[in-house]
Order: sequence, then structure tokens, then C-alpha cells
Amino acid sequence: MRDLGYVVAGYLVTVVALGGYVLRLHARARRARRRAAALSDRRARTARPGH
Amino acid sequence: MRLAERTMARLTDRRGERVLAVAALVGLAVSAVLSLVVAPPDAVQGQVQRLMYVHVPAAWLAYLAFGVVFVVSVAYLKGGRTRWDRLGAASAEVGVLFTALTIVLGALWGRPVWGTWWTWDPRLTTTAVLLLIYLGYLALRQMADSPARRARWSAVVGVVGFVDVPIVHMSVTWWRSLHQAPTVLRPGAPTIAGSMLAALLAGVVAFTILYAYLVALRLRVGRLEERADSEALSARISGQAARPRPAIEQAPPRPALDGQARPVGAQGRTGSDA
Repeated sequence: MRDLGYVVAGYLVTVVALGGYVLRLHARARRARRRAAALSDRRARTARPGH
Repeated sequence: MRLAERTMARLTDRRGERVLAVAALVGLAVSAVLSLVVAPPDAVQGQVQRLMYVHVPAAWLAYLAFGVVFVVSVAYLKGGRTRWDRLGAASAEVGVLFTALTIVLGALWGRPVWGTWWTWDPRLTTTAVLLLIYLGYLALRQMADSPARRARWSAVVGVVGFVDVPIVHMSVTWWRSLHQAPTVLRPGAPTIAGSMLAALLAGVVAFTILYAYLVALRLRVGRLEERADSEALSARISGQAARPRPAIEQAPPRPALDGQARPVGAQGRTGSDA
């Protein structure tokens, strides 16, 4: 029964590591998309006459 | 190479990425059922042997990931195409994750079976070296100052670093090791029960699909970050072009030939009239 703890810990570590990596990649993608959109928006505004 | 490029393009578009995500989730669920419910406990080790169904696929996927790094590094050194460099970086990152997972899962398995979390066994040591090599690969990518140099150096490390993969695999055969010998990837038939082998293979297939999904996602993140960086660069360049150039306006007056200082505006063109 004590050994079952190691199995649970192992599967939990796997889910947390792989799931955490997927979430981190999604967060990075979202951040990069927002940053690119904000920069291109600002560039478009400054390029417009009167600004 | 053309076919590889086409397959890569198809798998890494948004639709391909979604299909891979769903397939990986289904595969992992099937693998979990087979390994935790269907496969029997080991006659000697009992329940703790179930860690094999995640430990071994993680190790195989690390081999695969670094194998991909090796192949695309050779392709980059031969053809110099940036897409191979990007794929190498994505695969190395995922490979490092799987290697670290292999070591942690091995420690969790080793504690109840060997009585220790870690020992300087040939298999464990060479795996730790493998992790360090590819952590070095990722660190190198952060250090190089130009994209071309970064890609070239990384490709060289990607080729040389792969030498450790067969050493890791053969370490249990070449040296006296506490780690068990290969049961599937060995000459002759696998020395493992059918239901256990099925659970193990399901784990390998599920992890392989997960690997493809992670690489596709990592490539998309790379593309988006590159786009953001190029937007930032364009914004900086257009901002500099819009501003007057102060260096010419603020330059100290040059003495005229007749010894009289000339007014600033007479020295040349300023940023505003350039």
C-alpha cells in the first residue's frame, strides 16, 4: 500500500510537468500575440497624419 | 526532405495542432486505463512497477526528441534553412522536459525498489549528462548574439550531443548496472507479458503524439515571439526616423577659417530637413 504513494506521485508529477508546460506555452503565445498586436496598433496610429 | 517539410507544415498549422491535442488527450486516457487498470501488478515489485508505463515512454521520447534535434541539425548545417533550426530548438526543449521527467520518475521508482532516490549508476549518470548537454544547448541559444551564429553553434551541439543517446541506451549492457537491462529494445523477443507490453506501447504512442503536439505548439510560440520582436524593431526604427537627429544640432560650433564661430544651423543639414 505504501508503494502506491510512489505510483500516485509519479503520475501526478507527469500530469503537472506536461500540463504545466502546455499552459506555459499557451501563456507565452497569448503574451506574444498581444505584444505584437499592441505594437502594430501603435505603429499604425503614429503613422497616421495628424499624430 | 520536401515530404518532411510538407508534413511539418501540415502538423504545425492551427488545425493540425488541434487534431494533435485531441489525439494526445485520447491516447493518454487510453494509456492510463491500460496501465493502471488492465495491466496486472508485477509479481516481484507489486504496484510500484506501474511507474514503468510513464518512465519508459518518457525516456524513449527523450531519445526521439534528441534524434530529431540531430537530424535537423545535420539538415541545417547542410542547407542552412532557418526552419530546421527552429524545429531543433523546439524539439530540444521538449526533450529536456522528457529527460527531466524520466529522471524524477526513475527516482520515485528507485526509492522503493533499490532503497535510494539516486545512485551514480552508469544509466542514471549518462542520463544526467544527457540532460546537462541539452540544457547547455538551450543556454547556448540564449547566449549567441546573432541568429545565424546561434543556429550554427546549436546545430553543432545538436550533432555532437546526440552521441550520448546510444551511450545512455547501451550503458546497462556495456557496464555493470543496478538498472535493469532492456526488455523491449533488445535482440530477440521482448521479455515482458503481453498485457504489460500493450500498456507500455500505448504509453509510447500517446507520448509520441503528445511530443508532436508540444513541438507544434512550441513552434507556434516561436513564430509569434519572432513576430512580436520584429514589430518592436519596426516600431523602434519608425520612432527613430520620426524624431529629429539631435547629434548634428547639438554639436559644438566649429571654428570658422577666419577664427569666428559659425551659427549652429549653418554647419549642415539637421535631422528635420534630412
